[in-house]
Amino acid sequence: MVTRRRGSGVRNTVVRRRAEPSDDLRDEVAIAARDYARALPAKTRALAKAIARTRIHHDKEALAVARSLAHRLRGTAGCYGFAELGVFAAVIEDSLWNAFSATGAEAERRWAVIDRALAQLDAIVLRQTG
Amino acid sequence: MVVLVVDDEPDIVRLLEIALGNDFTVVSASTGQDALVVARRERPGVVLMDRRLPDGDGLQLLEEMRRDPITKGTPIILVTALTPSTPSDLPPGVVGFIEKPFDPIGLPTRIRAMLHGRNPW
Repeated sequence: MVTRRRGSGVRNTVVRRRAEPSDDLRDEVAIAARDYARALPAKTRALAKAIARTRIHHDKEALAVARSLAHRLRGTAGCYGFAELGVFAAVIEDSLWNAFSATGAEAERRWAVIDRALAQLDAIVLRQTG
Repeated sequence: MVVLVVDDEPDIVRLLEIALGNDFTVVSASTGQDALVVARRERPGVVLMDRRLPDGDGLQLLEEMRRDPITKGTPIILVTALTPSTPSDLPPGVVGFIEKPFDPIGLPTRIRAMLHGRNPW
């Protein structure tokens, strides 16, 4: 397998990958899934931090960051075999704008939905990473 | 055949590189503008495109590719959580959808089927 990278970082990077027939696809996917699982605590911590900043400071930029992080988790977790994680990330992504926009008791109720989903995410990540 | 993956999510790009690397040559770009440059240079046999890109909607890129004489005939497969319910909902040039989350095993077979017009899902 030959990997050629142009540029640096993720953005504006072009990767060419020529694989060899001897690659064991399932093994490669399993290795990638382990790497993904290893990175999960940092991802969920970043999400929790962005959510807290959104809620405490009513910060629209933090809201955009939180939604983006939740969206990324939602889109990737299931592909790596963490379907449940993707479901709770989806709950968070779909609930954030409504919680941000609501006031009073309604806001509290909506933030509680997000808190519960976040707790579930933490529990799943803890299970996966021990 | 060259497959161009257009996605700004490194975890998805990595998985697609693994899933497709035994069957195709995989090149990737993380923005729509990059994708246009790479598509003109590499002349991919198919483009796997995320619907949401950092510099715009994937469908905008699709339109730009349709206008470019070099890339206008390139088949597109959208990789998205939002799938249309019927084949008539497919935007022009889109031969199929890969719904997220997807199972990486068996993806090359699905892509070949889409390219032969057998099954857009």
